[in-house]
Amino acid sequence: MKIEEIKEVVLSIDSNASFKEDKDQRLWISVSPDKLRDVLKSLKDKGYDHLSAISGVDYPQNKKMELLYHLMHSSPRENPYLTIRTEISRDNPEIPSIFDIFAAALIYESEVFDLLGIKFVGHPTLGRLFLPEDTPKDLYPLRKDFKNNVYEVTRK
Amino acid sequence: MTFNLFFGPIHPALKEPIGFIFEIEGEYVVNARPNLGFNHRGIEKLLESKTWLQTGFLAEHVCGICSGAHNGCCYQGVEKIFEIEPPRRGLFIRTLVWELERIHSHLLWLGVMLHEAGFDTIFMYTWRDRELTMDLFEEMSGRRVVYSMNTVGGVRRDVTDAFLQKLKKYCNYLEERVKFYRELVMSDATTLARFQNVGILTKRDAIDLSAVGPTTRGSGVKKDVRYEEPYGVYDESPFQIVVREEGDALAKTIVRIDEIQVSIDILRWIADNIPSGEIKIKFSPMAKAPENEAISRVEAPRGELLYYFKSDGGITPSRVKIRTPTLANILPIIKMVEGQYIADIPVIVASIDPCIACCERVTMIDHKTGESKVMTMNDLRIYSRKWYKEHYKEVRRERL
Amino acid sequence: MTTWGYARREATKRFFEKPYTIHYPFTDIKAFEGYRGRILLQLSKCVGCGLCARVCPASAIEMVADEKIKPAGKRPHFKLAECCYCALCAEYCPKGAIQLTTDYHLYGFEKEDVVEEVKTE
Repeated sequence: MKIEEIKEVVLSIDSNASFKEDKDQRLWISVSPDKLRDVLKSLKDKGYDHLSAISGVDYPQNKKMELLYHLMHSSPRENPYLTIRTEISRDNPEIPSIFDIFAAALIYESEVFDLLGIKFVGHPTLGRLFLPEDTPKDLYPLRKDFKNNVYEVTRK
Repeated sequence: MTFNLFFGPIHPALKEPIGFIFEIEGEYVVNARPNLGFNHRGIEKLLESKTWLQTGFLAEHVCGICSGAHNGCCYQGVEKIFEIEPPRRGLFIRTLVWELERIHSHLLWLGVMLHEAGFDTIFMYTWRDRELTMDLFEEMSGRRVVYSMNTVGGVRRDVTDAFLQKLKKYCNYLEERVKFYRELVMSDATTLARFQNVGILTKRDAIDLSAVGPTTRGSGVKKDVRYEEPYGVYDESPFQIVVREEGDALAKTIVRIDEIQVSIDILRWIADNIPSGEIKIKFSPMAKAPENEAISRVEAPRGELLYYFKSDGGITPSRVKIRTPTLANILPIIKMVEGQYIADIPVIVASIDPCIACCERVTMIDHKTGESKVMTMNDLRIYSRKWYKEHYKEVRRERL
Repeated sequence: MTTWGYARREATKRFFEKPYTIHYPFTDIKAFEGYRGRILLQLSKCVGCGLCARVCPASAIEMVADEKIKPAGKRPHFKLAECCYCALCAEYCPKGAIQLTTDYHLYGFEKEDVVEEVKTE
């Protein structure tokens, strides 16, 4: 698929989407969180069936958190790579889970919940994956306001 | 009526701790749940306090066996943020380190996999051949295990012509040994009984679960970062992708042995065609990056390794995300283990080449009486060899 | 070839060969030249600029007071139990006063016992 076709497919579902291309032929798409499931489902029907990773980024100054979904096509030499990003609010971060579209999201969403505190609605086993089970409920280490005496020492 | 089998952390023979909880009925495994996090060190958070030059030295300590892949992928991502390109000789030396590391990782894995099946002679043979690789690394870079050869804009140390001649002699020696290992694995009675038709991952499951590395290439799916998005000098080198159709543990073994042969061909090509010139670009250690974001992907020995960098104009990165290949292969273990015997669990878990390795204490809880028995991994291995000795004939009849 | 065929061939071939093991504490193994081992500091070349302490990724270098260095009055102290032997300090020292030797016997009963080697001439 060419980049123009992908832009048409996404714009037909979410008309406010924005795009950015870079030098390695990778396309970065921004959609709104309630249209995310439909966009991912229609891209999967077009052949993007490999989910590489889900990244979460924290922006405390804008009071937002951002999620990135990295996708790859089943024949990647002719189709560009995609990264789909959404923004959700930082005070009560929630988004629907996509584990019924991509089965690999079961592990990646658990990891993002464990370290950043974003709740994925509908995930069957959302819980602590890397941190011990008796960690206090509102302790999410990867947020920017998490301070510990170990992490403050290194940069002068 | 199912039992819960706690396959706990801390194992003496494999590399790192991991836990699983298996639900068993009689001798068959019905379900499994992963229990991770025993080796979590907070590296993604620590990388936010290191300068761009210092990130690679922390990233290479994520894994000891694939440390060259992490180092190279990290600096490749930083170069994309700064939008600079290393010179040609630097790219050739980087690819040399990546391929030599793939050889040493697959030789280590071959020994460990056959040790799980009880064949300790090949374990000793392959680890002896691996020692010669470590000597080559020590001569080229200064350390045997964590080599830190890369920097932003190229490599740190040069290779001499005498070293390249030694490399070619090692390639000739290793080619004979790899032919011997391949013949042995395909025809020996032990490996055929323990690996053939064990832990089958179908092609549909491998695509649905987004598995990576030789785990999917053994099930017929063509996924390899060197084939999809060539980086370094792979598009000019004699690289070929290796794929097999059957999907069992024997197919994954043969995929990795054939990949050693492909790496030997690439190393010979590098030693003959390396150009002369500079090895790195000038880069200041306190440089400020522009506001940018970048993704860097590399084929580590276990699969696709992904680094995502985000910078907001400072001297340190603002967010680094690392996705290692073994995390993507945890869900396929749960699929492969359904319906198999308990005695096959060590072979199936070792067939994905876990870089977060496994278990020590296995607790068997009897559901009816409530008593529990603790077995170490050594006991489980002795139990699985003894079980196979008694039931060898009927298993062979049903599998071959 | 069957399993017995391989076993017979390997047993006859290896019966007359020497074992491959090196009995390490009783025979010494020399590291290759260029190995990154214990750090050697030459006090005659050091000027106390502190660049090594700023570039170290593991924060294992501390500047301590020493009146032999003029004019800065301090020199680096290396905590080798925290060092990762990356050799960035040797690469960025402007006077070439830091070198990494081939000594890999780095042990002690306390962390503070593992220190660098200082040459004063």
